Amino acid sequence: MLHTFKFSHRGELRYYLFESENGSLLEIERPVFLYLKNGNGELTQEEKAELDSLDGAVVKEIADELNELKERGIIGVEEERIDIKKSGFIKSLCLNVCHDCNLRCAYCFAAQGTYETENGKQNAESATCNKGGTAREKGNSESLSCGKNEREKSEPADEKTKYKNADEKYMSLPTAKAAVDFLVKASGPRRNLEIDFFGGEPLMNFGVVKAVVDYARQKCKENGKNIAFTMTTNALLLNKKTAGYLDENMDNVVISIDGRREVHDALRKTAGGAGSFDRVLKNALEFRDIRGEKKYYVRGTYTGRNPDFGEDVLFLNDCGFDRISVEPVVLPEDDPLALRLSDAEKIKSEYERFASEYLERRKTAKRFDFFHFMIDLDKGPCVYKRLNGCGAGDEYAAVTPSGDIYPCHQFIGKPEFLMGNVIEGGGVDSAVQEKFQRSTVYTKDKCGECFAKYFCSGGCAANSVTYERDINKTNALYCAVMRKRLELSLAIRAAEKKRGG
Amino acid sequence: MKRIEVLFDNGKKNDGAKYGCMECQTSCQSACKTSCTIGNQNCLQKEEKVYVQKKEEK
Repeated sequence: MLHTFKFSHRGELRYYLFESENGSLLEIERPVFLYLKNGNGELTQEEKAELDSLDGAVVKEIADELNELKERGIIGVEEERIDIKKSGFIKSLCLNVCHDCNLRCAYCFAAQGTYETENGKQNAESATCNKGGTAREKGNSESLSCGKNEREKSEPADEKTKYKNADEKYMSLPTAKAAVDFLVKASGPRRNLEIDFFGGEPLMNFGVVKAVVDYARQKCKENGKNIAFTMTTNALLLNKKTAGYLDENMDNVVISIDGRREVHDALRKTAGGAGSFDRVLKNALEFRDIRGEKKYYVRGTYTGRNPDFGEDVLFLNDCGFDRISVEPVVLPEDDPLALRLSDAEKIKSEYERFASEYLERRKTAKRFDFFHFMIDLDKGPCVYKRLNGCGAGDEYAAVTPSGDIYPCHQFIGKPEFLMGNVIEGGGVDSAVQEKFQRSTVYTKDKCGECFAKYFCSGGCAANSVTYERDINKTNALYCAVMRKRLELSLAIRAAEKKRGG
Repeated sequence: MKRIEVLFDNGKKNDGAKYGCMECQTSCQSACKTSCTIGNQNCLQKEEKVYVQKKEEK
């Protein structure tokens, strides 16, 4: 599928042609752009008049060049449908080591880290306060582990009964080990495995994190597999000890920070209601210094409150971070912080504005990577991966502190998506897994006619369920954001290639 | 070509794009944690970082 788009940078408008079937990218002159748009019936009256005013020889030249490119197989490539064989081997686990958090972020999809549902027994805030969240914030990693161990000692001896408790907020080491055993077994022939420590705030269960890293390394070594670790943390509990450990043991560390102080503090408050910006920024910067060239990201969430989120990205860069990601919030439309379809044009304009500044900064000492503008047109993933997407429910799953298995962290607490339990064994519910296996770019309702399909891979299944209540439906706002980000990624890649990058 | 400049010609890379070893990183793990952009993931096999699997394992 051919897609034309334009990108304005420092007053200069450039036009591009993208062949989605093979990922070829071409820069075209405006007459070619008009010629192609006309073919799709997408011209305004003014543009049509401009096209009609072109010399016949020019139009023939354009047609000849396009035909030559078709003959060379660069554009006009027919879609080649392949048989999708989903893997059925789970190779990545999101390990929710803690369903408790020392922040009360207003937009948290996990109910302030507790994953309490509307029908949950406890109010999220009171539950975490009762567990001593505030005291834990002040503690160091060792005190966290001690607290956990003491709690474990008071639990019943019958492990199977103990860890079936759905109210379990801190993953125990036996559960974590069972999750590793499950991963190694479920991964079948896959050699490269991953564990992402998530929560809640995973550093609130640091002792278990350390122990399970050692255990997973040992198990993978015994089974001839490689393992990579990631942690997503709010940075409040980062100190010399925890930061040093993460630097040494995590392949990637994702630190949550939303950007400017007023943006961050408005929504990412502590249990006591104070802003967390100062502590988070200080700890994140110290970690960046320790981290050096190794992989990390600072990651923010933007909401309806900060449609100028590009300023937050640039602010984070000004602070000294060089790997940055910000994501649109995922909230029901009636939430005051939600982004709505009516915000789409505003969001797209902000990405455009910010992309231009991004391109400039990448020529300077402030060069940074923005996760969603990074694109690999040479060594990108193969077509199987592009059709399957993130692999949630198929090769990727999340495990709760009580050992329950869900397709990903965002499905936790939705009973219809419960896949099994790592303590109970018995593998995963094949009906749920098959549902996800059957969901691909080919089955999503709007993907067939979209140029971005091999890059977003049908989008996020959890978003589809949140907004459309169906993993095979797509959400118009998030499709619009994804398409704009892809256009800008391609334009940035094109500009940097022409610069010799 | 006067009016069109080919910046990335992937027309001849179709075959190479079909490894299908499924050893690649699961994207949600890497950075974003909310919505996935598969296109910014790398193929480890193209970088020769993973074992080449037998065809029957695909």
